[in-house]
Amino acid sequence: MKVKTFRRFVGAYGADPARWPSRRRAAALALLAASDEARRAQAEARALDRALDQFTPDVDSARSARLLAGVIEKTRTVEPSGPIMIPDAIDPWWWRSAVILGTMACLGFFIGISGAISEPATARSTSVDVFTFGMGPLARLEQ
Amino acid sequence: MIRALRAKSFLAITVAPDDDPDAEDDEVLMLRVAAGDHPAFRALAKRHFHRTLALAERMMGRRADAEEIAQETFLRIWRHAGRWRPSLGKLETWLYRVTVNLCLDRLRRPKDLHLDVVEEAEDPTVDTERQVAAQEVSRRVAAAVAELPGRQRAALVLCYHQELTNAQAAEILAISVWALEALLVRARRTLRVKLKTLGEDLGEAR
Repeated sequence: MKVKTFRRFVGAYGADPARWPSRRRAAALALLAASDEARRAQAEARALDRALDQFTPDVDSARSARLLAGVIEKTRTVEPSGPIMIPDAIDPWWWRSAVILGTMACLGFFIGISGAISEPATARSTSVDVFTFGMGPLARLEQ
Repeated sequence: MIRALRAKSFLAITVAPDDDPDAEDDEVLMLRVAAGDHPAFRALAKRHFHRTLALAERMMGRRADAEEIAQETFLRIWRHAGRWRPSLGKLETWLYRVTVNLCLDRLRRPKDLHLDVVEEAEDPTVDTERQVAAQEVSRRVAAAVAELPGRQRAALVLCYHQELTNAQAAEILAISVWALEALLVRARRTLRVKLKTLGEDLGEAR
């Protein structure tokens, strides 16, 4: 880790290594051991951490319990929407993929069928070539 | 995962109502809540309400709004418990996402509705100089945090005060970890400027 990266790192997560993302903690600590500049950046971040530690709203347990009792009381008059049962085979990811593939297959099938039935042979070969190769030499040759 | 959930669901709905809900994990409790189990809801709420209220209070900077939002969050949990699945992530993440979204919605309302910051509770029995100084620091930090844009505020509170991982906080805000870091850097940079003198005072005090 470079000092510039470390500055952004402590600028985001603060000075305390316990709060740092574990994947980059070792690299940050290694730099910290070797660089005065990194230690200065950590000290700057620590000053703000101290201030943030003082930001402690007064959420006492009695107040919390009183509010919670209010919620529980309200739930007596409201019914939950109930569980959504999802079969094993219809996991959301598979379900979406299957719908997309199925739609594409049906669309392809119907386009193919309608093209084969409605167009005469010469027109069909030209249109397919134009579709495939754009306005290239092969399309012009067929015409 | 789904198979395990179904097995748990079966247990939760058919066997567990007589069990002690306080001993159950969040997944089982949510399945019981979805089936309308009041003791399971009470146990779940008891476990998470306090931290949810603290999150809302730090986000809103105003006690009345925070209380309303924390209560609304848990009413939604009750109503929509059936929508939650373990594949959506930890319950705590889902819970905080609901809370943060409610807070951000509320913060988008006209500014004049949230002018004041957290009202400090006055305790007549404690009136020491130290207590007053601590309240003053807390008030100044709360005021500075309240001036941050909503998403920066959410990023800071989730990572620093709620002590979530960067991945969890990013998931709650529906952004990448890189974008989360950018929010955190901007939030802390702004606060460092606003609280410069306070930081120096705190630094000297220790």
